[in-house]
Amino acid sequence: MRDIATLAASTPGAEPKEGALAVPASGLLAALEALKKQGGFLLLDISAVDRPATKGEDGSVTTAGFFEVSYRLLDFKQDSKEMLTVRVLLDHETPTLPTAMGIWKAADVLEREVWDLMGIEFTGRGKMERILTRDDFEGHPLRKDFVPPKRDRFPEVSWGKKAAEGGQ
Amino acid sequence: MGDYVAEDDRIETQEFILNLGPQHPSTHGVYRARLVMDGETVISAENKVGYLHRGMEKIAEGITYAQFTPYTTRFDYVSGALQPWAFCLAMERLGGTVVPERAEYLRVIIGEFQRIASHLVMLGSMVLDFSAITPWTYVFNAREDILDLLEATTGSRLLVNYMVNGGVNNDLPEGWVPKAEAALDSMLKRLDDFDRMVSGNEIFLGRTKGIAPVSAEEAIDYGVTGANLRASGFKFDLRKDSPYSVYDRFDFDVPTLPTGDSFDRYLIRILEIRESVRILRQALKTLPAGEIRAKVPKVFKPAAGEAYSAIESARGIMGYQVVSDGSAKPWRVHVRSPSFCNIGIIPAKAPGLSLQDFIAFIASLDFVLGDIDR
Repeated sequence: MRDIATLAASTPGAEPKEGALAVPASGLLAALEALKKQGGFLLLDISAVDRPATKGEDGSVTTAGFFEVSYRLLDFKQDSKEMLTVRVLLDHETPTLPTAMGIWKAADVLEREVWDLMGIEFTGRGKMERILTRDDFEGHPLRKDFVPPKRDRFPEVSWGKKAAEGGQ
Repeated sequence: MGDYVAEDDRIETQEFILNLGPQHPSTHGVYRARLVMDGETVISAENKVGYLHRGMEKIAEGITYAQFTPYTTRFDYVSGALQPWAFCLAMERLGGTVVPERAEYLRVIIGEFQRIASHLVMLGSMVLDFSAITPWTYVFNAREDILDLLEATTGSRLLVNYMVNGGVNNDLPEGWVPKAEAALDSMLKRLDDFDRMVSGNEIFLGRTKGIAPVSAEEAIDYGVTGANLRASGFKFDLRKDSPYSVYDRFDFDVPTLPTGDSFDRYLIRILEIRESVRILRQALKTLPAGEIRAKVPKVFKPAAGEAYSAIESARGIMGYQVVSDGSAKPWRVHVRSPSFCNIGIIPAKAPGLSLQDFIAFIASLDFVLGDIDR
């Protein structure tokens, strides 16, 4: 039986927090590699949650905004009901993580999705391509401050009037 | 006359790019593969997805929990009834709701019928990709009976919004259980016919045996789950290994196959249908009486927190991360869809396949584009 406390003790830089292994961004790869070495884990999911800054009544920032990135590992060596979660907190200014592609190849598409929808950068894996939105899409739609682009599929044209005047 | 000898040894073949899809019957949806071809041989393949992206996760942030439940059936529309299950599990964990026993059984019954229907579609459409039209009519006939059963209980045939927070929507109509048992018998008969027609067919074997074998290590590396993982010889099924709902009460096996080639990925579906039938027969026999839905507030406002739930959907492990901020709308819903990771294996396995083997390969992976693109 592997529980979070023993896993945290054997994983560098990790500490148990709210049912997950909390690691700093700099120690993520080392933690994932240590877990992979123990064997029995499959990278199931990477997801990110946007937590914008909260402001007091006078408009001053009371807590700075951050991103919560969770790596879900499926532990197939034991019959635990929950997945193992490895969690990293990133600030809003430069949300950057190292790629986990060298550890699990599944990280490739999952990281592309997180970057596409939430704008978390992954270093060490070359140019990032959009995966779910179209290639010329701007912004990251799952961020809370995302403003949907104006619908420009039917740009205004003036040929109707010209035709009425007998022109082209 | 001797053999033809090229006069000039500088003659070379030229590589070209072939876009397979997005509008192509064998891609089973708006999936596009960008293939670099040398004649008939695939040199490299690249997945291009996103044509069906509807921004579901963003939609979820703007509506209430109950309003989002029907949306979940639109992810994997081939197994619609199974889809809200993971979302309901997450909501029930957030709200601490205990689902009544009868509702759990009804979820298993409808869910397993839906799994059978989904696997039947896979079998039929895979042989259809080999231009075998007759076997397809057998499995779709069998599926039709199941869809009638779903319709009688839930009101819809494809996008079945049956599972809701705290239980299920409606109870079985009178006389449903004997009809369901009869449908299982006739379905098995048609499946046997299909099995005899296809599984030993020499052309079918020639086109699937040994094509794109995936080892268990590779499958785990790429995050392949579900029947595709079990076809590679790895025994893992959430229903057995981490039982949710009442799956721990039923006696069933988790079939595996050794090689993980296209044929094994096809055959595993037939074996899984037979196991689903075993579960269904037990569930129909032991269906308890009682409530079908727990008491949940009309406006569901869970305390701030996070829940992650995973189920074994027809295509693999479907996971939901639901984050609440204490209001009536979810703060964030993230969906881990099985097909999205399953197709990650395509670029690794495609090089060296001929184009027709590539078609057989992607058909055997059984992905659904609504599930990938969300």
